[in-house]
Amino acid sequence: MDLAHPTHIEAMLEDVGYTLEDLFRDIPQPIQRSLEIPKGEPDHKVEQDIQSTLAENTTLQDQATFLGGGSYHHWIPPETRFMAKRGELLTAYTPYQAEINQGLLQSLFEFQTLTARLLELDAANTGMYDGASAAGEAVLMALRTTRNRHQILTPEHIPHQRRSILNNYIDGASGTLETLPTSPEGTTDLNALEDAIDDETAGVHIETPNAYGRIEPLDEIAQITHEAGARLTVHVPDITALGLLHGPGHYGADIATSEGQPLALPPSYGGPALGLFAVDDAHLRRMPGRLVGHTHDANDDDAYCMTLQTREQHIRRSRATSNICTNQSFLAVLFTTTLAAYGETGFKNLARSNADKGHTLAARLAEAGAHVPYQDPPGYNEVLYEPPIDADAFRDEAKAHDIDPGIPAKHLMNNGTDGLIACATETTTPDAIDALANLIQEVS
Amino acid sequence: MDPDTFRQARWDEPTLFDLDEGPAPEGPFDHETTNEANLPDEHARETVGIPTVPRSRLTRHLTRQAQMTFGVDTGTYPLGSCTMKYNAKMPEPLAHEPDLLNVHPLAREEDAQGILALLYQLQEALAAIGGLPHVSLQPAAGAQGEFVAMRMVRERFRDLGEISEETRCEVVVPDSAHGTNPASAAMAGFEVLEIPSGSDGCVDVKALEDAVSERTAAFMLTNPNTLGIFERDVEKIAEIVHDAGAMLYYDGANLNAILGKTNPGAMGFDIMHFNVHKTFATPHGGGGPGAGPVACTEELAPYLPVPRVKKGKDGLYVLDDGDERSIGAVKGFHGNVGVLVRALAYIRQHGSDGLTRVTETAVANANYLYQRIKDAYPAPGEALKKHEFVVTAEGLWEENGVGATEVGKRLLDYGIHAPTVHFPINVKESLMIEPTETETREALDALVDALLSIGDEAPGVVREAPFNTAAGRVDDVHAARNPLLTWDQVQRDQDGS
Repeated sequence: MDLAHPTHIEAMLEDVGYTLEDLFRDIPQPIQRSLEIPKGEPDHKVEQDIQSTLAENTTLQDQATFLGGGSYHHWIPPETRFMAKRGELLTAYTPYQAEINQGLLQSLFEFQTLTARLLELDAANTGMYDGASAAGEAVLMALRTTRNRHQILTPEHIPHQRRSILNNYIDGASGTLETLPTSPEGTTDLNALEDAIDDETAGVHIETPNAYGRIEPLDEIAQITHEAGARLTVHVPDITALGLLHGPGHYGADIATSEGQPLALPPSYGGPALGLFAVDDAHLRRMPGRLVGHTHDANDDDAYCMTLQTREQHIRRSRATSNICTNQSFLAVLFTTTLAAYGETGFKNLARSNADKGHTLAARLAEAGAHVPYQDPPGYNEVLYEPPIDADAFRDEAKAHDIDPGIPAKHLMNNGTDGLIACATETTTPDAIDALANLIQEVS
Repeated sequence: MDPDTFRQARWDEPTLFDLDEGPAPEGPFDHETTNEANLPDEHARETVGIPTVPRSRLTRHLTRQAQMTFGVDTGTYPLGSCTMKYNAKMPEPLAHEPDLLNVHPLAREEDAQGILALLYQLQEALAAIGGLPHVSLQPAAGAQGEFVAMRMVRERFRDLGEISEETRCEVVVPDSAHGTNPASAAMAGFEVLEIPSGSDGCVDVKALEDAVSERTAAFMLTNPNTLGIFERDVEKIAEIVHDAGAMLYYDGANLNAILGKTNPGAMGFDIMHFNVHKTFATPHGGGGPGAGPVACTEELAPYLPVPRVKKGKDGLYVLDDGDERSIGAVKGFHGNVGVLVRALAYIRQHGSDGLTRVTETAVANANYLYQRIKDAYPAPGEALKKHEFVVTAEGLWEENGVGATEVGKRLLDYGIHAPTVHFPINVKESLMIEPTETETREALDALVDALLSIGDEAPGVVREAPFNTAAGRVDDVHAARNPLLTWDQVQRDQDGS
């Protein structure tokens, strides 16, 4: 605790004619309450206790882990981890005062540039809470930029938590979510999309690589969507995929979002994470979130400031494009640091390595006796497989071997899919893949 | 007080894209790429556009950017409504513990017992602090907490069969409410009715009585209010809102003023959010991540976002998915966990006695500061403030054209961050000042001296400030007229002109 001693406070107040009691005499007696929590504890005790409680977790380092599903474990360069402790950036507020926050503003401008390049769209904001809620805002924006259209089409293989998030974001705008079936290739069924889309459709929302690790046919989807006059919103659950794959804008997506956590910090039990949000220039003034623009200062030197704020809640109030205020700026700075530390070649290698690992994992699981329904053409770093025995029983068996073999599909998808969804990244060791393959062989 | 004692670092620092040396012939993971996965050609991209900068130059770039940024770690930050208190350092490394960072959100519950235990502790603590029994930790920030609350209110009235175009379709907010309040209500599908505040800055009880009806779903309020004045009529306000069948929402932005004195539950609120970066000292990160947990009554509890952490009969912690009444999720997984762990550490470090002192000190500092500057910068409403206050620079403005914006900019030259300016809009040339409990008397006196000396400085100088910062006055009008949001857009703009 770091507070002035009460006697100092009393003395200070006395100088302006108050006592401490005076300060709270405006709170009516019937509603006065003291705090019903334990008294404060010494720093070292809190620290030790929280550390020892956290030690009860079984981490990615304690067992071979194949978990993805929206949160990914990638290697974060030391520069990023080092900068994560830099006090000026960590303890600043949103840079309302541009002159004294040029460093942060420049970093966020760099982040916007990287986001736009990765997603292959014109403009990007300084980030959203996470990828999943960014997708919610994207779908809401699709509704708001199309007239008298209320329907959003999305494939049934979107994870059910992310579907729930979309529902929450569009409910207030009277939007409805309709689902499309999955094709035999594990991607969106294009015939079903053509049948379902009509002049009620505001948007088509797609994730790629999708929850099965499959790359969606965005070219065809964009064509069908735009012919019907709807918006295409695309979410990339693991941003590292775009070291290898084209960004959604390349195929004509109007709005694209992604999860930037993989390049900012480890999973951290799911948060904080980082939403990336980019749009076609045509929709710039309808987009949510903070924007940093390039300008000049009184000396005519390059400068940056927050801009187009008339879209935002503090100016536009109930007519704002979004209620978002605080976002995830610090993670945007870390994300930018990671990418710069990787450089173009390193980042492309990282993505390549993930695709290779995912491919190897799929091949090894199939070889060992698991059923891998979607294997060809290769996907990215996730793969759906059915172990030779019941998925729950297999998970228990794996636990005994210090393996977390993937996310139960029924837990993630809630669409009748059986089996497990496993993820392999550049951090997954060959030994871990061996151990999982061996276990499958053992239980066969 | 001398403005020339402060100089911010000033580097003519190029962007990463100006520093880009082009793709390196080799990079990390070279040896690991086997090219075994032959992806369809139509998806493969040739270039991404990631800048390649030597690691030494990159580190200098980042260090210079940090030096050209002003945080609470740098100096006094009296940004009203934002509670920029010193970010206690003890909690910080806990958020970087490998035993936290390396837990996957979809790990088996048995593998996540440590973090689940901590989240459970935090839920319990927040319920006690809020005086409302049920908590969700999921919302990523205060505004998302508001949105969650409005979604919950909507679902509750839907279940009661009261939602229609004429009933429970409206949310009422005071005109001094933070912009997020009306924006969150609108996003949840409500019409928004703003009611004018009384001349004392408080809720006009008569206006509220006239405004609420069966059309009203909720009234959103913060107490103390935006002017830093405690709404003494809060019980009456709760009665009016509840008599109309509506819900009363507490914006936790100003919770730092009432810890250990009263709580939202006691005041009659049904649902609230916490801003953990405001009340519980988690660092704001230049705009996040924050966390905006929501607490509510028994009646609203089934509508809370899921999953929530519960304690099973065997003493193990479990993730509970609730039932079909829950609104579901608003962001991925379980909330901004790293931020929540910091908040828990801060709450445990302070406890009931420490948090009460936090509030007492925050309110003492604000009142001391106000009493010292009130002759130069008067405030509307009653003299007794809580943790913050709103003064007007109208006198200076009329006298010599130095308004709230100019005072704020000139303060930067003294190495002090500006207060919130031109908010709330119901006070002309408003400066919203919140010193927080962690500023020493010396720091408060320095702020007083700076504010008073600005009033005496040559207006011409003040109007052109700041001078001691990394950039001179930034042309934000130009930025908005010709939005250039990426380096590539800047290049195209410069090539074209």
